[in-house]
Amino acid sequence: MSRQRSLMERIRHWMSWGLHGAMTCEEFEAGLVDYLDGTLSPIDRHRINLHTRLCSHCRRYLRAYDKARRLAGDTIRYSDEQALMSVPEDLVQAILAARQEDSADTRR
Amino acid sequence: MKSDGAGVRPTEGSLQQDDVEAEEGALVARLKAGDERAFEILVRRESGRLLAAARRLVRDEAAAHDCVQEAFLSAFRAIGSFEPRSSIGAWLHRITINAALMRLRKQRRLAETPIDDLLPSFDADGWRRDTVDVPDGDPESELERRRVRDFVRGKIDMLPDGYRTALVLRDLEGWSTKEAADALGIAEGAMKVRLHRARSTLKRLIEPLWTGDISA
Ligand SMILES: [Zn+2]
Repeated sequence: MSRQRSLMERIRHWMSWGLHGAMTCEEFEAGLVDYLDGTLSPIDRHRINLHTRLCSHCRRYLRAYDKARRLAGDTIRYSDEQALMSVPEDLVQAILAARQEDSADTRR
Repeated sequence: MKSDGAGVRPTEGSLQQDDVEAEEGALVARLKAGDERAFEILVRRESGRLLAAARRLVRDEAAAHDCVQEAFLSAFRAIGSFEPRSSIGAWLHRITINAALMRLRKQRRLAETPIDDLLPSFDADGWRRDTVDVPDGDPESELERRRVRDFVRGKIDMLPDGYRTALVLRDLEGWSTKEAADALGIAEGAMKVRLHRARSTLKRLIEPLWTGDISA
């Protein structure tokens, strides 16, 4: 980072870093997929847990991230249930017809 | 006790489970013998579920129909080699997903087209800038729930195909990173990045729901 920063700014950053589980929010973000998959090393997992506890921003972020996943799942599953209630007859007929054609081809 | 359309599987009672397995075994045997009536039973039983799975990936209704049809035909051609390690429904499901992915790949629809300004932003030191508070609890009335679903549905549909596919394969189909990466022809690391971006983007799109910025 080429940006010129005052000593105060740098001190503030490193204090912040220490107070947030020795991890920036950006580093937290980068580990999230593995964290939720449970594939992080115990040390990295611990750092993410610590950061979540110490950083209210990331805590809120994680909650929203999780909630969005859940809502997307619920919504799609609901659409699926609706779809199951009515199987388009034209699709069934098209498949059966294509099957007839297909087996005629193989016999030929 | 035939369960033709609804696909309700008994979850308790080993006797019922045995019945289902025996029924399934008999159906597979008839399919292998080339019984057309058995094929129709299978088509009627599984089409709805498979169509739903295809629709998650390809948004065009006619294309989703084609995927299901292709899946049935290729399954039927390969029925001789079907080994009942998994159910025939699960087998068809997998073939359908692959047909849908193949279609998207052919159309080159799976390239990642990020919606950059919707990704999380950090300051120069790597600290987070923007977060919203998610209110506790879920909507209580059916009307409100429907409003939420319609809103979320609209946002899912706004995602680029590459993002939606990553989300569907990992978060809904429950595929591993490796399986999904292989299917999409990308590296595992790239798959993780894409999944994360997809989830983050969706989160950002859904946020107005929590900040109250949508008109009812
Ligand atoms: Zn943070």
